[in-house]
Parts: sequence; C-alpha cells; structure tokens
Amino acid sequence: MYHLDNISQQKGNTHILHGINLTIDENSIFAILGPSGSGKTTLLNILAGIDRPTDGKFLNEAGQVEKGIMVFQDYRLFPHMTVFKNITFGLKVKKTNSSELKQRAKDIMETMGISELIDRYPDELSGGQQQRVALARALILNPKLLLMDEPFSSLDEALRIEMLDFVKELQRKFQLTIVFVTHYKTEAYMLSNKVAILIDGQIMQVDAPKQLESNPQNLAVAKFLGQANFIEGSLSKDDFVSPVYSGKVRPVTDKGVLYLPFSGQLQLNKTEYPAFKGNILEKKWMGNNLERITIEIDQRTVYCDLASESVGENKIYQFYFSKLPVVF
Amino acid sequence: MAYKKVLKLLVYLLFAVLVLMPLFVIFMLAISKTWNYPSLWPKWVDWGYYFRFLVTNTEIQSSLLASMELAVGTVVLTILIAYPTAMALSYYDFRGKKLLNILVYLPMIIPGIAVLTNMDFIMIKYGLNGSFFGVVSAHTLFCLPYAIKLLYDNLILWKDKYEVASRNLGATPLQTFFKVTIPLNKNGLQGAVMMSYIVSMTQYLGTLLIGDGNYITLSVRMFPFTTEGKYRIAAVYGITFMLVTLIPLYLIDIWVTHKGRKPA
Repeated sequence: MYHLDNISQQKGNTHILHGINLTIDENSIFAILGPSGSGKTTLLNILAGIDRPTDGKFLNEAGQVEKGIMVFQDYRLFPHMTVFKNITFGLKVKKTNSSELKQRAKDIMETMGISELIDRYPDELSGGQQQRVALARALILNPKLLLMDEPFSSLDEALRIEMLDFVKELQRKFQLTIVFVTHYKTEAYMLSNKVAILIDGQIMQVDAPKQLESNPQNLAVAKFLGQANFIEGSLSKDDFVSPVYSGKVRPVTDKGVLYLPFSGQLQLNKTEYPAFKGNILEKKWMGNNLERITIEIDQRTVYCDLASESVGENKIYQFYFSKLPVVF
Repeated sequence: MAYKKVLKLLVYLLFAVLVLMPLFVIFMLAISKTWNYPSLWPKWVDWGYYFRFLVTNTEIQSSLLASMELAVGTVVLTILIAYPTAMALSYYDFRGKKLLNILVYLPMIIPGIAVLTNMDFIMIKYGLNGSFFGVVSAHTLFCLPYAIKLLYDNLILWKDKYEVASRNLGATPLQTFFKVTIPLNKNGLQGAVMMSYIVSMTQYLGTLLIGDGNYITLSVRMFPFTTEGKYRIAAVYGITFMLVTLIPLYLIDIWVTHKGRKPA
C-alpha cells in the first residue's frame, strides 16, 4: 500500500494541490481523473520525485520514500540516442555490466514487441512505437511503481484500445502498481476499477467507476463526469420545486440542483417515483442499441438514454425515476 | 529562370569581391617580395617567405602562443560562467530574471573603453593587472553576451524536460549534464566556444590595457604594423591570425559532426 499523506503543493501564490490524502493498493492500476489544470501532473511529479511537495509525504508500505518511474505524456525519448540506448539509459547510469544490460534490453524489447527498432532514432518511430519504447525504458528498471501521465492521449482510437489492453497485460506480468492520470473518463474506467477524481487540487471522490457515475459525491464531480442534466430549483428539506420536476428528492448538498444522469435514472416502466410527462422532440442513435432522447417539459429540455425504438418522436410519455433523485 | 540565375551569379560575384578580394590581397602581400605602386601585380612572388618568416621570427611565435593561451583560457572561463547562467535563464523562473537578462548584455551596450578603464582600475586595486587571470577575465566579459545568448537559444528549445526524464531514470545531476544536456545542446556549445575563441583572439584594447604589455598577442602586435604601413609583415600576421582562428573552428566542427548521429 502506498500512502499519500496530506500532500500540498504551492508555486508562488498559487495553491496547486490541497492536502491530498490517498491510499493506493500495490499490484493494481489506480487512475487519477480530472479536468485540465486540476493538478494531476503536479501530483504525478511528486510521486515521481521530480517535484517536492510544500507539505506532506508520499510513503510506501514500509514507511519509506519511494519514487516511481514515469512514462511522460510526450514520452521524452532522448532524441540523440537510438532505441537501444534510450532503453538501457537507466541501467547504464547505474553502471550495470554490459552482458546483463544487453540481456535485459533484449528481453524487454521482445516483451514490448520492438526488437526490430533497436537502431532507430525516436524521430523515426510512430507514436505507438515511441510509447512502447518509453514503457520499455521504464520497465527495464523493474520498478514497483510505474507512473503514466495521460498515456493514451496522443494515440488514435484503435491504437488507444490496443495499448490499454497491453498496459493491463504488463501490469499483471510485472506485478506493477500503476498510477496514471487522465482527463478521459472512459480511459480511466477501462483501465482501472479504482478512480480518484481530482478537481481544483482536491481529491473529490475515490470510487469504482460505476459508483462514480451513479453516486457522484458533489456537484463538481457530477459536472465533470458530465452526461447528465442539471436542473435548478429550490429545496426545502427533501422537497424540491422546479419547472421540470417537483417532489421528493434525496438532498446531498443544499445548492438546489437536481442531478439527472442521461442513463440509469429515467425510465418508462412504472416505479414508485413518478418524474414528469414530456414530449419527445428528437432521437439520436448512440450505438449499442441506445438512443439519446430529447424530452420537452414545459419548454425546457431534458436528455436521457433509452433502448432504441422505445419511444416515438412527437409523442407524450410519462417518465419515472429508477430511484429517488439526488439534489446537490 | 535566366533572370534568376543572373541575379544569383551577381550576388555571388558581389560576395566574392567584398569578402574574398581583401583576403586575396592579404594573401598576395604575404607572399610577394616586391609589390610597389602602381603595379597591379607583385613583380616577384616568393612562396617560401611566409613560412620562413613564421619559423624564424620569434616575435610572431611568442604572439601566437600568447594569443592561443589567452583564447583557451577565455573559452574555459566563459563556458564555466555562461553555461550555468544560460541554464538558469532558460529553465527556471526566479525573481530578478529580467534584470539578469539585461545585465548579460551590458558589456555589449556600454562602450568597451569605459568598461575597460574601470576594469583596469579594479584589477590594479586587486593586483590582477598584467596577470593571466586578469586578461582572461577582461576577454571573458566581452565573450559572455554571445556565449550566453547562443547557449540560451539552444537550451530554451527543450527546456529541462529531458533532464527531468534522465533524473527520474536514476541518473545523477552530473551524469545528466554530460549524457543529456551537453549532447542535446552541442550546437549551442559549439557556437559559444567558437564565438568566445574569435572574440578573445581579436581583443586588442583589453589585452593591452589589463595586460600591462605582458601579453603581446597577434592582434596587439599586428596593429602598429598596419598603422605604420608595414603591410607585408602585417599581412603575414593577418594570414597567421586567420589560420589559428579557422583551423580550430574547423576541427571543432568536425568533432561535433563526427560525434553526432550517423545518417539513417
């Protein structure tokens, strides 16, 4: 288990991180998800020993400071070195003897499927190849903790999915602890079953992907995760009043914003929580047998994802909540 | 197309006349035995004169040695100061960065004579006038703006991102400097070394003033010859001057190209 103990970072007058407390299980993939400028890279740099926090500590299970090996967003392969020299850089500076160095380089290049690139220079490689070389350069050092900064952001869609699976495979093979930061929630959900949400330098929530989507802890998390309707109204105790829906709710905070995620919250099948009657304005095909429905209620629009062909356009339907809706 | 070709030819010709002609005249002067007005061409050319002069004349030899010593010393001191300064300016944000940026160029902005007379005053105060270190530091002062600018422009391209990667992979600061910083910025370093060498070689006033006459370099010795009309000797000095400047530059260039990556 790794412990981030009250880590804060300040540069000049700007507070980048505010008292971050986290525990990260060993031999797992941990995702830190947050919008741009939330302090993700700063946090990762602290775990990599690149930056020192103004306050707090990052310790491993034994209570020692441990630094992770970083795979940078822009890979940072040394442009004046061949793939071989890049990969063996970490061993070379540790003065590893040459036969061991060659053997380990050969093994890792085979694992990463980059053996044929040995004499190439970084600018002669594709984005995917560069990422594999960057991973090889880190993994050859047998790190316990591997850090990845927006690892898939510069890859195209097909390659991204391939690399996601590959990284999972590497984690199992090398028994690594991988901490990676991203601003794509699908990437975080696909790679990890424990995701921390970092917004404005604060950890807002740490949960499994499904929990995050169904139970965001506050409005900031809900808004960042998106794919939801936010309806303003007034709240007194557990009674909510708005042009779209008025009735019982589950208040979480007192801002008076009704949270209706596009999927999972609204349905046509009757439940004990009637929502509203609405006219179907539009249907959009979303793939996976889903349609995004635009519902008009009293000149306001609400979106929701339903199974395709479950409603017809320009018809009025009664909608129900699957569970008591949340108000922030 | 023809028009463009003619224009190109004209540019080359202009270049040749402006740059190569004076060089040619100096070259001819150095090997001519008699070349008097108004003859267009030397009456007598002695190819061996230059080399005999170079081998037998002890003054030119000592001047050559003095110039080289000072130039090498200046290059070393300049790089020692310029490299960390350029790194600080390109990698870090700190209070007073803008001021330092201006200070770096001061030796170029303030007239040389004003800087040197004041510097001489300080050197005398600390007993450094006439010493090797004194002269080298005077030369260094005039090399620093060029060296820092050349190194800075190169370092700012990548900032410290590769150094950060190197340190994260376990390299010490020293290993990072020699394995990453220098190889990545060798063009800037080459420029800085060459420029410092040339500036030191051509320093006249600083050498004379701070050196108290202890360092009679090629440029110091050459100056009176040209003003007194001894063009032939001045030409010999001129040729030597060019050779000792160009040969090391050429060697550094070969070294840098050789150390670089092989073409794919």
